[in-house]
Amino acid sequence: MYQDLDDPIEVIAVFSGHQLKPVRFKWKDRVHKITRITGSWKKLEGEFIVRFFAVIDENTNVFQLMYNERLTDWTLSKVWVE
Amino acid sequence: MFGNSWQDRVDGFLEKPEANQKRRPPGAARFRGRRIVHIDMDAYFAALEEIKNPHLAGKPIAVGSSPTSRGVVSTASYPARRYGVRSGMSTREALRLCPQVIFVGSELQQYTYVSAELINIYHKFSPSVQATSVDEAFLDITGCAHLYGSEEQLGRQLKNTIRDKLSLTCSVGIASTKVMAKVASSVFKPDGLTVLDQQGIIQIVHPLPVGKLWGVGPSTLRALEEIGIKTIGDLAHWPVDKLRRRLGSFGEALRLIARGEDDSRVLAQEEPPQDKSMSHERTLPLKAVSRDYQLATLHYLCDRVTRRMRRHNYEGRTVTLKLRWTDFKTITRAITFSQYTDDTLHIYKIVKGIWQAAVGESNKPVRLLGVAVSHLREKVNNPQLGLFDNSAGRRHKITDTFIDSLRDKYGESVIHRAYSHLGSD
Repeated sequence: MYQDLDDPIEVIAVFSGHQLKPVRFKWKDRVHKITRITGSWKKLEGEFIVRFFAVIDENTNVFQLMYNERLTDWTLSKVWVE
Repeated sequence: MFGNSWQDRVDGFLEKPEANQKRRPPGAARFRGRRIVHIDMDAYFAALEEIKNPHLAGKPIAVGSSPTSRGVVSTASYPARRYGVRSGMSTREALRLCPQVIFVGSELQQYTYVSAELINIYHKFSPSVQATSVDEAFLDITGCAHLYGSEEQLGRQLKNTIRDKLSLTCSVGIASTKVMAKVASSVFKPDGLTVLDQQGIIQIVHPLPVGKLWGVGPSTLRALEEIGIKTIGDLAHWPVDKLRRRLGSFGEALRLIARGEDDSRVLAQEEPPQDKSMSHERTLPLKAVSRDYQLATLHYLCDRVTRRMRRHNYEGRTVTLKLRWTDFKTITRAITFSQYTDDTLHIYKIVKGIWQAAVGESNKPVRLLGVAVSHLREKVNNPQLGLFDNSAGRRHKITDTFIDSLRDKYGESVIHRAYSHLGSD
């Protein structure tokens, strides 16, 4: 099941071809290498965009990251726990 | 005139076509030759969740709230459906039928976002696209099929494009009317493609149970079964007079639909339906049975509905309350007033009055509340001074405008009315 979180995280991301792609993120002192982005979408919060990324790390853990353009910060919003 | 089987009745009908031709509405002929596509995404929410999370692939999953709350299943994956889990079922019932089912919370923003991408794909195949829900749409492809070789090839290319771009499958139906296209898309699921001509309607659609027809709800189904109509073919060839006696003009309209002769058009997005309404409803949490919680929820629902009305520049004059008790008995009560309004507090006061009359002093637990505003019209810019344009009305308007402007800039969750906070997200 998914566990809902609201944890601030540090993210290395690439801006390329008008797209934003997270590559690695650091959560609880551990760096996770993103091997696959399995979904990305966005929503408008007023005039500002919030972007979501469903990602899988090198150990096939599933996470959901959120990037808030107004606040320019990243949050880990969900993690899949068996 | 009619024998026992519906085929006998077809033959009987064909002997005297002119008697029935007279009742065809004048619009029907205009739409002859039309070809409509209906696209129904296969287990849409569940499919998107499986794409995001490979741990879910092939497992029975139910998208919706957890069984500890009182929510319902929005979508069940096909493995879950094999256990009888269905959309709209309570999550507790789903768990009872399939103890190993995995519940996944819905991610409506993603589903809506991907739905917009689907609509972009549809527009590559036809300029006339009507999305009827987040996972269903109609396309008018009249005159387009030759660009792809045939209707079947158009359907295949549409399915391939969706699969290649979004890794999703869908079931597609192509027919001469919206209803028949919708029935066709449901014949072979998942990942089906069904093209119906008039012969196909007789061979494939007419033997189906009449409840499969769009527009036949539980009470209509009961009425049809009472007079002996079991299949869509039965309905298509039932004597018009008998149908009219039982169901009025609706019976006659249903008969035409069953014959593949309805003339409803694919309404592109820029053509809003005439009788538009806006509504919002919410299933209450298990522990939220107090009257205060219900009133706060109604306040929240009025806020959501009127916010949407103002955003689309609508005002309305009929307010409907929907109330479902925990035994699933559901009532709707409506009030129509003479003046149009989009005032949140004014509509809340009306809803509160309807709710008080419906609930009385009872403490019977409520499962779901809903609010709808209908009889909508585009807002008049310089209206005459109305009943609600008193000083309270002006204060409400200033408050609504202020709240709307904050939400426009910072998002919907930036501000709540204090009273609705208990019942809000």
